[in-house]
Amino acid sequence: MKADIAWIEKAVMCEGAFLLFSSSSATRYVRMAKQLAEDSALKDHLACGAISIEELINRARKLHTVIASKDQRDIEEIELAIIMAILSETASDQAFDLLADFSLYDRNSLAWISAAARNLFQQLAKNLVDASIPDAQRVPIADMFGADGSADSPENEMEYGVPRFDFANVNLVAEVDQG
Amino acid sequence: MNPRPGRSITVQTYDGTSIPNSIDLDPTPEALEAARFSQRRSSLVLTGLSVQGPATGRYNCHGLVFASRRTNIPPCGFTDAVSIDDILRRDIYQKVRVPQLGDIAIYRNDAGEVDHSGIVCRTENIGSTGKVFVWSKWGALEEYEHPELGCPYADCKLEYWRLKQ
Repeated sequence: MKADIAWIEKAVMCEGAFLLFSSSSATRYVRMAKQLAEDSALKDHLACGAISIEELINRARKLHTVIASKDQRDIEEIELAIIMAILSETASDQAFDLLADFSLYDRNSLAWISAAARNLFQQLAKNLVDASIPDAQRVPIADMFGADGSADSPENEMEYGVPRFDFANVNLVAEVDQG
Repeated sequence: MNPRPGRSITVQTYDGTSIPNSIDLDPTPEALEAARFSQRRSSLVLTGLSVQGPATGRYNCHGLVFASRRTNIPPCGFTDAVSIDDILRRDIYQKVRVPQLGDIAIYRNDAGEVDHSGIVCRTENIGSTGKVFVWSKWGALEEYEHPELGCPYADCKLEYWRLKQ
């Protein structure tokens, strides 16, 4: 992909300019960015391997730097918002770090991007601790007891790489505190 | 060019509660040109909307309705800072069924949040059917007079609010 032209189709960029710049709240802004991500071929390119997550992240960081240097809201904001929406749906640690990083910037030209990053970061499935019962049920019942018949033998701490379910110390859904 | 963007001004509700706000950056001519080529916008033009004011980051829809075009409500990117429902309550508005000139149009999304607001500027009766026109600012884009659902917020539920008598 060339770095000097937008990676998003012109038609989607035009819709993005209309939908994102007509938003008055961060929640609507993010909803529109996700809708635009669905319309863009970039998401398909990522899915089929024509473009990698690393390339998208590099592109996002480059756009972020460009926007930070501006004193008006420009079209780079549209491309970056769409890329962030695409990245937020991956399970990538780098995408997670990128959104966390972008959410911290306090600069006028990045106000909407920072707000979108905060909103997407909050929505990441990774931010939720899955404490559902089925994981606990993956441990065969016979293995739940040690050789001495006790349920808390050290050798049964792990099974299938999944930590033994600790009923005493779990919240049903715990969100990561973002300070 | 917008002088000192990012600043806020003093805005209060009728009962004296401060309303957080901020004045945002203006969009570039290139970004506005791109928005004009949007197919969604083009299809809305056919519904009979008319441009009434320039695009600016100085104020948004809620800034037009509740702050006389002076600022953005909520502050740019900080949705949680302001509850439009709280402003309506503190300014002593009540929801009405049949709109009339000067009422506030509230566009509420599926989650119950207020996505947009405007002012009823015209009502027409064509036979037994009433047609309502709303004057509103579309985010950082232009001010428009438009049919009540002839706007980008047509996916929302529409309510009308009036100052309590």
